[in-house]
Amino acid sequence: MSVNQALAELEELRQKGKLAGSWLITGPYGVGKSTLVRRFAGMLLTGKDQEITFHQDLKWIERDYTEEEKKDIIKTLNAGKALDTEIEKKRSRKQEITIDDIRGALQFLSLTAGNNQWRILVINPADEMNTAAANGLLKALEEPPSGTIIFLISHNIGKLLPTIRSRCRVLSLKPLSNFEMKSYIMENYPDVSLVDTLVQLSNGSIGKIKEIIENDGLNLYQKVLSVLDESSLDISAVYQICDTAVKETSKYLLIKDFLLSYVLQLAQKTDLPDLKRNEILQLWEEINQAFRDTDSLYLDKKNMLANIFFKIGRAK
Amino acid sequence: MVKFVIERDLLLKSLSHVQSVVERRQTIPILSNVLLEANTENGGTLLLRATDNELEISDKTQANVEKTGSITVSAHKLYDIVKKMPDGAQIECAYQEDTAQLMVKSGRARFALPTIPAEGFPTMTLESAPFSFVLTTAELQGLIDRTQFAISTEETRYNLNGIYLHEKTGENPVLKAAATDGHRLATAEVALPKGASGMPGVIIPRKTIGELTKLIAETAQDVTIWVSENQIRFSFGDVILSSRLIDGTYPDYDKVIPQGNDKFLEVDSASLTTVVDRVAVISEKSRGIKLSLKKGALIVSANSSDEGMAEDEMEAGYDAEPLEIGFNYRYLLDILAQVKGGTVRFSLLDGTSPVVIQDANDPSALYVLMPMRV
Repeated sequence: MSVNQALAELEELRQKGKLAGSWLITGPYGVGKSTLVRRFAGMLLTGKDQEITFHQDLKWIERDYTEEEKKDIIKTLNAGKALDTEIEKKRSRKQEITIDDIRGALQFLSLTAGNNQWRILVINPADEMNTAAANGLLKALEEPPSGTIIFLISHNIGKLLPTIRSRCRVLSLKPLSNFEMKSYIMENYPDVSLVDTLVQLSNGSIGKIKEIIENDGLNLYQKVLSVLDESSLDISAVYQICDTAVKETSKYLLIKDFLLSYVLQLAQKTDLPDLKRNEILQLWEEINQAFRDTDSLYLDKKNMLANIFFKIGRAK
Repeated sequence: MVKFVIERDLLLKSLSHVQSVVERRQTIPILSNVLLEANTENGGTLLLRATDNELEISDKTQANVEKTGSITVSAHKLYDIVKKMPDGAQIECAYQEDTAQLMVKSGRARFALPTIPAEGFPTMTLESAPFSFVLTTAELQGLIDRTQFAISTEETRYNLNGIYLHEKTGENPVLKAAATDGHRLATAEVALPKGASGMPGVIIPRKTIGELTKLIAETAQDVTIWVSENQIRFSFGDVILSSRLIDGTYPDYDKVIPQGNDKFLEVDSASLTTVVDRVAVISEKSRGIKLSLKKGALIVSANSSDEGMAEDEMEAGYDAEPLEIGFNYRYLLDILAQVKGGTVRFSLLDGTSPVVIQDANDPSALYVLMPMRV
């Protein structure tokens, strides 16, 4: 269902007084899961249909900043300075949601609401909780205190402990249709020229559109495409792209998506003999594995990316 | 938007009331700020408010308001700046629209502080029709002082992390405060004030109690208290403290107060404190001390294999068969500290049952202490 349908359903349950205390909001990345929760929180806590990011009765748990980053924020604030949005975007966070974060959440639930009767706790995303954190939350999920709603957001429901899943009502959001995506782009980014490419690249996820546009992704995509479509690879262009990727993580992630989707498109060509198709699908799996290894073992990204470019060039 | 001139001492006093709730380890920008709200009512007032999302303190003071409005700036920075200004100085604060800064001027000194708009500043609103009543500062302080030490610090039993304030109906209805950590229980009461009848029992968090004691120490006025299911609010004239409550049920503590204790010990509280404190030198680690009671005397002793032995004897009013009982000396001293200069009365059953301790001259407070095996 879409964000608006989900919102209407939640609101209807609330009016009937049948709103469950623990919810699991699932769906692919960027379909509007956190937007849904922020809007519903806005309706419950302020009475208006608006997205809220900060409210005294809303506790929003994400992976916490690393200790050094936290110290730096505290130092900045104690010096009476304002936080800089550019710096805030780049701050590194811990690898997972820990039991300390969950303790903070339980402390929030142990006190009465400061304003209305509602308290809202959000874990975003719940699949980033480590086992200790997840177990720490079980009791609260099983029986949330009165006037409390717990939302677990999850892109990857398979990663959640079954004990967590079984304690929540599930609400799954579906990717948007190409038509909906197009109208979203026209409405919000009227200057974008390659609407169809953007729709194709973002796979029904509004979050993905934002990511691509904010990181100059369309330009990057064209570059990747122009390199790969040539009959023989332009080595200096390949290394140029690899350099950009190494410098900025967000661009690295985009290039990863582009490469994988490029290979998938190759495999979808209709006039391909079966043997060739299998070969390309194998390549896709190989590339996927290469990215996984690089990310988990911190291998040299530049080298790996260049290798992938050459492999794709050879396979064509 | 927002421009006012205020006397340094007034601003400093108000800031010192509110800034203590602002946490030094805060990572949410707006919570490290203080809200300044300038009004022209009553010839110009400035409202200051700070919060840590659990409790908030606000104070109202006189100011010469030129432009009304509200803004937030770093609480600690503003406090530090105002502290450095000379006594009796006039301080002008004005919001600069073009830079979004608050200009703070006094004499020839000028400061510019970054601001955050006041719209996002969290405010606690009290539910409608709460119960409201008035206590004298002495009464409120008495309730807190005599129970505060027994508040549990164990996070898992969060419903014990505060003082339980509730009405006790009966022949003489009272307002009662109770705190316990499972090892000791402390209760204190005052006659039920007008307006408190029917109020919900509430658990006031420890942090709120801490801020409350600071405010009580500064005032001699009566305190108006509002209580609802979700909040409690204390008003000391212009200074108002509002707090969330602990969302839980307090255990029925009456059940742990023993009724059949038939042996009584009466001693001078101050002398017992000295003796226990002296003997405790030997049980720093184990915390255990032993009280041996016989007719007319009390022996306090400590014995530990690695710390040595200590013993002291004092006269005591005891008339039953000999009895030995052990306590954690810190818990005992906490209770004795509340028996102000008089006789303390222990009611005992045997060496392993809980003991009731009371000030012989003050039946309004009652303490229960669990014995310790020594």
